Amino acid sequence: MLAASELKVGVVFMNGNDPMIVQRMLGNKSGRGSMVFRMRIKNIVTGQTMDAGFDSSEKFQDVDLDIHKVKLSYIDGETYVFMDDDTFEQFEITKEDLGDNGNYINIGDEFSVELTFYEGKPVGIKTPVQVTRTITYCEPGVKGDTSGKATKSATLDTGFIVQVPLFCEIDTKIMVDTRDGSFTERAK
Amino acid sequence: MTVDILCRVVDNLGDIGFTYRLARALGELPDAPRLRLIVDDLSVFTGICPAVKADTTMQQVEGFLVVRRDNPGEAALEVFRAERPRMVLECYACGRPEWFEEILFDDADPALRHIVNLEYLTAESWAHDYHLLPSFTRFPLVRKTIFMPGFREGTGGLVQDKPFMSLVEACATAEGKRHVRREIIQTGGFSLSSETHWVLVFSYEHDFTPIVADLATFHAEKPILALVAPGRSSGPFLAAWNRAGCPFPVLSLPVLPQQQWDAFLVASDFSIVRGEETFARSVLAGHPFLWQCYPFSFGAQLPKVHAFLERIKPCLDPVDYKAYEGLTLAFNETEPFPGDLLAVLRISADGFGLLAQEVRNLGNLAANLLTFMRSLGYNYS
Repeated sequence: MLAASELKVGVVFMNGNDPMIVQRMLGNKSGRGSMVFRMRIKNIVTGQTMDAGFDSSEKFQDVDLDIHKVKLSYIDGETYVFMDDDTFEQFEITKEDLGDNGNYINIGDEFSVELTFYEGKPVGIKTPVQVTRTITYCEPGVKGDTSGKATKSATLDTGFIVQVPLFCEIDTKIMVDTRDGSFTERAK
Repeated sequence: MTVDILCRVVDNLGDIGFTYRLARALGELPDAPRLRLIVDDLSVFTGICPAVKADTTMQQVEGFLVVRRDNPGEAALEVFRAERPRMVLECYACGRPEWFEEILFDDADPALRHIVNLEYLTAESWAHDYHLLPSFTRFPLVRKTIFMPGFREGTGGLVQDKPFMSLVEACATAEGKRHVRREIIQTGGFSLSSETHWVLVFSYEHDFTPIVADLATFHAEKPILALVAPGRSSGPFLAAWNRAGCPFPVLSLPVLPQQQWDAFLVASDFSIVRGEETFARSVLAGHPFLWQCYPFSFGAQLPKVHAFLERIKPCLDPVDYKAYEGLTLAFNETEPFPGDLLAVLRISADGFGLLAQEVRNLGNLAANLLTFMRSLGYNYS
């Protein structure tokens, strides 16, 4: 069983006979102690998407999925093409099906992701919890401010925009938490 | 329709207070559902509803079936097996006991059933985004929805049970308030003055030294009476009051039945309150109050405090708001407390009355909830 707190982008769970995949994390909020998550989920069979809330008390049936370790090979319009690390076989998946995880991957990445298959069809990817990305644009850095409390917007090499501390500059490599898109630390 | 309300007592009287008032408010509605209250700590429930017997596993109280959440006994299990849960209200995402879970998730049961997770109260804007958000359980016939109380359009509002709202209405005029106070004094046998400025104290732990100092100064302008409720604030408040040489009269209140407590809350001129339940009721009461949010680690309560301040800001005069904002932020910070209670004690109650009216206009949470439950269209016979 999967606890609601284990649901993240790319995770598949069963709703009755329907496999559902988490596509986007839209927010997580806390009341007094417990968390409530808002996610966009997609029915893998029907293709229907919906926004849903999950409180941390619920548990879900997980799904047996085929998993291939892959790297992003190239992007053709809205289609992302991945290559299997072992067999070099290529698989296609749409940008929409990648959900938020499309924000954290790029061609030439050294790390692999897990491409998940349901009944022989690729349905999504799972990324590492943290990935290293490079800032391609941000306003100039402020020397001396290492507190991280004040932030600014920064565009990553994937095109995704995150909030980073003021000391970050263009070409700074940073660690990003793929669960919520937050800056973790400057990459070593 | 039968509705099962689940409650777990986490924080003193707030959780059971909300559950009890919600049950009362649902029970007052036209074509009200039958209600079964499943509560873990009946000894706390007894405090606000003396008719509840703490050692009885299943009992009828004020028209509700009250069942002990842990080890409810075979008779209660039979009742729930005979009339299975169809509509379940989980107060504050409190989860479900195992025996209830077994009946609710029985896959031999072909009927649809629905859980409504009543989330914590917050003025943050996300309450609107999460209100009536569909949710899932592990079994497709058990559906779930998130229901958000709140202070703005697009949320479920606040519980407005008749006994409480009658008190608010009665205290809307000075004469009405005096009358309510006289009744409190007579029925409770309290020895106190109905003519002083009543200040109710029911928050979390705090250094009350500056609060007591400001109350003492205010007392020279307008005689006050501090009503100190039992709980986490009473010790620190009384210690500060003693250190200051007992500069104004204090009445230490016992745990009171809900109706009596509500009367004190509504008939007060100023309240220092906490959490969700007394906070919500102070908003509805429409008089000035100072709110202490449930303290989270790393100051995580501050977004909730800021959101409430944003909500009340348009209701207050800008100068008054500045004083109120400063005091509220200071009271909710972990740092030393420099707020100016004296300035806040002097501001007009009109802005708080305006906020109360706006929130009342959102409708009674119980009625909004029942409308939602009926909209699901299941046959809850």
